[in-house]
Amino acid sequence: MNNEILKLKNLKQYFPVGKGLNVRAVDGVSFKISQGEVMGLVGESGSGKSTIAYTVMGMYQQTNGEIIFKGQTITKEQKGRSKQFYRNAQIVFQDPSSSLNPYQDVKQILSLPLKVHKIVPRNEIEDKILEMLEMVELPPDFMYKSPNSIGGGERQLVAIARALCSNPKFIILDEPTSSLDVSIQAKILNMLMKLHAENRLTYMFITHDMGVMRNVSTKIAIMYLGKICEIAPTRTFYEEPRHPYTQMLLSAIPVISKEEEAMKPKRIRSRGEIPSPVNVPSGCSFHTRCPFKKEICIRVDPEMKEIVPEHFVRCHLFND
Amino acid sequence: MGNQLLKLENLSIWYNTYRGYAEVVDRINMRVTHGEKVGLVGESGCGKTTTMKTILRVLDPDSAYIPEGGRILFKGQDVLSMDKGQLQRLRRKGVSMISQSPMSALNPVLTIGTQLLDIIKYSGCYENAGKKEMVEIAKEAITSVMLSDPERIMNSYPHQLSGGMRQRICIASSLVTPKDLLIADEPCTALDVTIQDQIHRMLNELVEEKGCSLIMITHSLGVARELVDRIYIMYGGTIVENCYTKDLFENPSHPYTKGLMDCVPRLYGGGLSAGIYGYIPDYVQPPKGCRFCPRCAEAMDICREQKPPLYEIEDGHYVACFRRYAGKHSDTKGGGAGHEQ
Repeated sequence: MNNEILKLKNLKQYFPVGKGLNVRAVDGVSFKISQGEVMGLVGESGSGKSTIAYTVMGMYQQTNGEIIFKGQTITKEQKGRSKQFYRNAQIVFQDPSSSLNPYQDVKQILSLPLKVHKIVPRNEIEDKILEMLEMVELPPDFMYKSPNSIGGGERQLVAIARALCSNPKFIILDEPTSSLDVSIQAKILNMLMKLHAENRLTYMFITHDMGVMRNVSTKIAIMYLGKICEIAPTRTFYEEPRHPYTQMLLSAIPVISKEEEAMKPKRIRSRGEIPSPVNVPSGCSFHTRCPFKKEICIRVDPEMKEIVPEHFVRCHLFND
Repeated sequence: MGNQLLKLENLSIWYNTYRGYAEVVDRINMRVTHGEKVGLVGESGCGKTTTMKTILRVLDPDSAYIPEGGRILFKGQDVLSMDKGQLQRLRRKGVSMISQSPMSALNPVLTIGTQLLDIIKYSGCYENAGKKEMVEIAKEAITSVMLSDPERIMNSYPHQLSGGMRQRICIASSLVTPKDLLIADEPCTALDVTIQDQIHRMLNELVEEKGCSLIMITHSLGVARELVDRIYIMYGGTIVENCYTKDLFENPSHPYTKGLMDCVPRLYGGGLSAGIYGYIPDYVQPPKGCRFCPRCAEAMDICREQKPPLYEIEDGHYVACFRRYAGKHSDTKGGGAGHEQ
């Protein structure tokens, strides 16, 4: 397909921890993101969401598997990424106070990608920066402010502006709002969705907040211990969550209205903790916490199965 | 109300900064009765934690100044005028606090067992107990927070436990001796939702079983809705709304509360709200009238001039907003033009 932006094929990312043991942070993940989609990647801490992001961006060298970006395959032998890649793919990190250099002002921060990718001639950089600030609705005098002197929400807007400087097609958002208060979170999310529509962007949106996900994404993938256990279009996902882990996750969310209460699957109460990724349980990795555990779950790792069109679940309950 | 446990009266807390005093908490009133679960909800920097720390008197008196007129009454005793011995008794037997990050609340170089036994030994609640009995009490406390294998946990160090387990230990250690009031300061912000769900359920059961009161500090309206009976909404160091949980979600009345609720992304979709315009006030030079008024779409002239008191708009539902008061009583004077609804 032509409109595929990113495709992962059986991506694996292991980190050795000595004694021949590995942390299997990402353990065989495959999915694809098409042009214009907002794909949500949801999971608890340690499930490998951010590792996928960092591996795609070339910060880690993948242990195995293929990353196909705009039709070009990046194999595990390939070190680094081309300039062209970074021009088209960008990332916004969770914590803007550590992803922006405190010793630079906003002008310096924003001018670097413009210079590196030669987006505009040098004498037009200042105009371009003003344009970028306007795009994220920050006043022009922010140009000479340092990241320390502005609020958390504004800092994140600067980080978003920086990611947009090279006019990318694809942006990875790694929990862009989880360090912010809800009133500011709403503002940033709105901005992101506005930019998405205006610039024909494609997002991979990493978060652990299912409420945010419902309102921004078109497709959702749930991760557990380095594997994806369910992928579905957003609407069907919330109406009919299938995987027991997804149901557990949804039923654990504190909500603020009766309507939402009615949407939560009632049958599952959360129990247990996420096991260590060094000693991943045998068979289905969720079997230690799953209330519907069968004998086969302990032995055999289930395959991903398309139970209705576009809705994939990795669970023995759906393998008859 | 006879069985009042804790009462804050007109309490202000100012921090000494190089720019002058930052008025972080401004004349708040709160009360907690025996066995009640109360939520204190607000965004970061609104003064929630400062208020709670003041109840325990753990803020540095050099930097935190409490202006005249403020009072904290715990079981009728004035906490602010307590001497050292009385304070120690308050912290040992009266109030305990669960902090936000369990890692920094536990000592990394002592085993869980040592830390729990210290609490049991020095609390003064089990003076006649021998070593063996104390160990039994500690084990029981660990089992009560749904951790299996108390023996092993007693012998492990905090870093050997997961975040969820550490927070459970913190809860266990704060409830191992009988307490009247438990203050939980966002106990689950650092944890995952499934763990958060388990801990909240457990906390709820424990509090009910032991019959102590709970103040739950949180920034999440959802958490407050599931856990507490009554909610205080705090904004910019002031209490803006106070009512029973059910009333709050059925009839949010303060413009800030409404804005906050709109900001929470819903599970059923429906798009995103625009957020609340503006930022939290500067505490060194706070707005003269209502502290929310620079961000409020419904602000009137009087809001800029006077601090709104808490009006009781319905039975047990208090709102600090002139606009709500004006809506209730058409004879108010001093309001802006045409504000009757």
